[in-house]
Amino acid sequence: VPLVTYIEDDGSRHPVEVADGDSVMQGAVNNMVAGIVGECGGGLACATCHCYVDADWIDKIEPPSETEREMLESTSSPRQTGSRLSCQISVGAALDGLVVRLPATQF
Amino acid sequence: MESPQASAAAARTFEIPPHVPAELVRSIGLTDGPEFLAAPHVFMADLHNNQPRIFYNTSQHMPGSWLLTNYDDAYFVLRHPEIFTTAGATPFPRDPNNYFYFIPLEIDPPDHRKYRAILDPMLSPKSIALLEGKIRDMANGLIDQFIAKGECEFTKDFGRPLPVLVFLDLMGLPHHMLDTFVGWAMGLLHAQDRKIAETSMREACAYLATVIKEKAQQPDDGVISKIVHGAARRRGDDRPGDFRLHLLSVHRRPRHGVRDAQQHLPVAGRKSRTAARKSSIRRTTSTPSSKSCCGSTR
Repeated sequence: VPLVTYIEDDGSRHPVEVADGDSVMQGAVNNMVAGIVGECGGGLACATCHCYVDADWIDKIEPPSETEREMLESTSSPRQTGSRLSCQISVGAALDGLVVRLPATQF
Repeated sequence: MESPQASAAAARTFEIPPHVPAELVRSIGLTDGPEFLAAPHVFMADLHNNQPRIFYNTSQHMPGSWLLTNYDDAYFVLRHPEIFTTAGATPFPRDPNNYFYFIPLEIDPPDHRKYRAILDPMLSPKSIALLEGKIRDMANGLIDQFIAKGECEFTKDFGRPLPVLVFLDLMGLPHHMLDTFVGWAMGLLHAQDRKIAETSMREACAYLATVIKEKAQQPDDGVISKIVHGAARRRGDDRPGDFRLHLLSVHRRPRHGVRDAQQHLPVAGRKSRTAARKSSIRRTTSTPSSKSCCGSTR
């Protein structure tokens, strides 16, 4: 099972086994990882599952769609290099070991 | 939960389609039954234990609908608009000769995204965060009106007016419309009377038609003005002119238009926000560990 490590803004690390095919957002929400809200359930409608993909992993993930890029302009915390909406990152074997950092707030 | 006899009685007043298995017909009193009103959080949590994963709802609220109690099932439905639709999902009365859909709630993908793209920048976490100071001022203003008394009727004095005031500001509408909007929302959502709901809808439509004309002539920073003037049209749209025209062509009674988007705005979020505020204060004041922060409330 792919392992994803979520690092909260205060430095807390949460290594989580995420089911193959689930999104990074689902992996956080289903395992009570604070810092990801996912208010709309993954519909690209709320921008509350914002995360920063670690530099080593950015190129290993499909680039964001036009809609995701638009939504990334609406996030509460600043958009930075590696900014993604975690509901749009599907976890599979290729992302085993993925590290994402979480913003200070989603609202 | 209602007794089997009560469920059967409710079912008798509602025509159950022949394909619906009798054992899946339930009237649970969702949103208006005594058990829900007494303890909504417990009621909702108990649905997992007391009801099947899917059942046919005959309650007063949205009768004739299938209800899901399992997260995975609900997630599947929400993620498959090619099978399931939100068209007609709101219970508000509309003239069948001048029917409109509530935007964006009743619009399925891919069109849904077009309208969300207009509204998102104005209602995003980033935009709403900018309103925090103003919303705090409004909350303080409301509290100031009853603080000397030392008590309040929470719903009437705070829970209901606060989201309406925030809404009016966001839309660019005057605060003196507060009571009028509260009346429309109550008529649409709580009167349980179709004629009252129709009158509320008709009056809200007429008012918004006037506002749209005014905003067309005198732009401001409110959401209605921004929609009317297409300032927030979808970035990268290859037909921005057409898109804007489509939004503005209310006189041609389009299937989706600016009026439709704003028809939802009189009630958008206010029922849920008011309910959320009432529920949270009720839970806070009824939970011993939280009471100390609340002081005296009624």
